[in-house]
Amino acid sequence: MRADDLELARRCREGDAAAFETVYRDHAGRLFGLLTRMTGSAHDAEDLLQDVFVQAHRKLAGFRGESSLGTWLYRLAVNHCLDHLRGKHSRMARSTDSLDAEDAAEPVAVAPALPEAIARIDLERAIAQLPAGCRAAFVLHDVEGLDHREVGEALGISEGTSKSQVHKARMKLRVLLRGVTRGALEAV
Amino acid sequence: MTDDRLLTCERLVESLDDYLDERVDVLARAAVDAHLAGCPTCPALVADVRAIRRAAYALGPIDPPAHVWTRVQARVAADPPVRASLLDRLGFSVGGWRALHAAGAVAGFVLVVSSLAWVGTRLAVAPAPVAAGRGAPAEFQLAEAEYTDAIARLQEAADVAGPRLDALTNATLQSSIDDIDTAIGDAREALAREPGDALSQENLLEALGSKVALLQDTVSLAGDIAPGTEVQNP
Repeated sequence: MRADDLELARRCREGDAAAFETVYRDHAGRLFGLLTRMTGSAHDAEDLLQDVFVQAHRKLAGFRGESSLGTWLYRLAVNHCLDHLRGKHSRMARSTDSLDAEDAAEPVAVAPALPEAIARIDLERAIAQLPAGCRAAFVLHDVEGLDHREVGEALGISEGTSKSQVHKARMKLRVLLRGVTRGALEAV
Repeated sequence: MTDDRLLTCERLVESLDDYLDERVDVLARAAVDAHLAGCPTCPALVADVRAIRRAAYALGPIDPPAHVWTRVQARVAADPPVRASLLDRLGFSVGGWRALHAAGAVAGFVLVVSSLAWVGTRLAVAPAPVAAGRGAPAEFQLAEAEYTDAIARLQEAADVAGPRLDALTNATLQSSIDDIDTAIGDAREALAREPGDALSQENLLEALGSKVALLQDTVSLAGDIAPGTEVQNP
């Protein structure tokens, strides 16, 4: 696999557009999913995905195969997305802070619980409604499978803060998804 | 709900991931299980978190819209560093380009574009960006004048060629041209403030070079569409 990646990267560096298209087709879906969920906006994710692949095209000369091409692109996408979110956060600091400050950490004493199988579209919509800070932690931890130490390193927060952000996100999702479930039941 | 039980609920939250991932020892698991057996709120919380985690982890890739790839292609094609490095690999030096340019020849490199909007493999031509800051001011002015002259001539050809392309391609190219024009404007403004600034000179020449290349691509793309087979715009 690594040899294949090195060969693809070499062809890209030499201006082989078909090779670059292969790289795009192989990885764009995963990266677009990550960017859409991290930003909560398909429109922003489209712009970021373009940036990531243009950057990748420029930086492929530096790809040495220490990691797989997918991991290399993934890091590029996460870093670019975080830069974007930091810029956006500084522009909208007040509103985001107020959203992040909402206390959702307390267990919700309501029943019934969510259905065992949550519809994908409901979850995608609910993730998009999360505040930016806890959304990023949630996506990296619960969707992408990073552990709290890795999430903390990526977001520049402590492991403990990552845990509390992920928990906050889950509690907000719980409320949002219960609303969806209740609405669906009432509609029947 | 007493303070003691609240503390236990908080501790459960802290250790929830480890509990669900079965990374707790027997004693810790037994303590959590005992708490869940007597707590009116935490069992529903654990069930919901379990369902959310399972659904989140199952979320797969999302296919981006087709126009994203088209735009990536356009931006890569207009990317000055890539063009420069390609030309370097093809052995065209700055001096060599100037000689070719003066002779009316062009350096070439292969630009493959494919998709509904972009029609197959093309041979695009572009002058190499001139490294500013390395030469005398007169050299910069000469290069700027050459680019400006080339842009004026290519713009005329592109105005004729543009209508032969489909609307999406035209829009993509125009969007890239707009971005480049913004970069040209920014560099000119910076040079108006500091005329000898090497970085601004380099930025301006790179942006002008990108515009030349993109206009050449526009003409090249339209030239590959045989008369009578033009894409019908809606």
